Amino acid sequence: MRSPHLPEPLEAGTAVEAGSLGALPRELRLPAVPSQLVIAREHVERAALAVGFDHRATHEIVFAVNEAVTNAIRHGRPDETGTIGLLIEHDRDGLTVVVSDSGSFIPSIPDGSPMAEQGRGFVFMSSLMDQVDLVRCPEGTLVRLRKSRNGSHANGGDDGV
Amino acid sequence: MSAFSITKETIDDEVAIVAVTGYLDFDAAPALKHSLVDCIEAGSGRLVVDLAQTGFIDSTAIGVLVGAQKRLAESGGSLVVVCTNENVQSIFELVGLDEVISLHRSRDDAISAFARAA
Repeated sequence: MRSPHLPEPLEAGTAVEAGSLGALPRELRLPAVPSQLVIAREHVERAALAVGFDHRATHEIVFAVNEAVTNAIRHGRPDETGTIGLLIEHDRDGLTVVVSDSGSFIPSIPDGSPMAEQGRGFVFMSSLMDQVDLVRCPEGTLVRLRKSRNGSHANGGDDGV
Repeated sequence: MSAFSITKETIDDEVAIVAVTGYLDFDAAPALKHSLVDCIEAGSGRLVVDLAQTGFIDSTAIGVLVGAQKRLAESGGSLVVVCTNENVQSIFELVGLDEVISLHRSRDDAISAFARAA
């Protein structure tokens, strides 16, 4: 059962074309296994660079999304196809990434202290992105991450990055 | 990004180097932990984790490094990191980890730091 918060997905594995994300939001379905993390990161990196974020901002987006996808793989529950969702949308003001799974993820107590061994995921996401939302609905859990273009590390592509 | 690989090298009775190539995420973190534990249990009290060829590190891998640092500290040892990628360095700095695990630009610098602390 799909969340009403998400549009219908394209076929699994549909690649994001360099230079444009197209007019419609695209969702990638990933097998919920650790070896897919590198696929998710590469997908997000291509998208962030394509819409004009510089390398520092792109790394921040990739890092934050990696944390959310890792949480979904570790603590979430894949859907009946064994996958989790990675949806990327962009608009004039920034980039939004939504990571979805079918579980009822409850985040551990955030711990941003230097000597913490666990619990840093949400601390990092909140520090690196402009907006982090955790949405729990009957169909599962969504983590929505947004980075705006007008931050100190974003540009509109005019710098030729 | 390239796949990850991890190598271990013993320098002397005290110092060992664990070098990572590729990325360090939830997929790779267990291998890093095993390598660090192997070195510690073999008697190395001073570990150099060389991340010069690592372009990505996540909070799981950071947790492994912190855990190893704590364990080494119990017997008077420590762990330092070689880091040349500014994105990786920024992650350490974001949560103040660079004050807990010292960062160096090269293996020589890292090993020299151990010698100075002796």
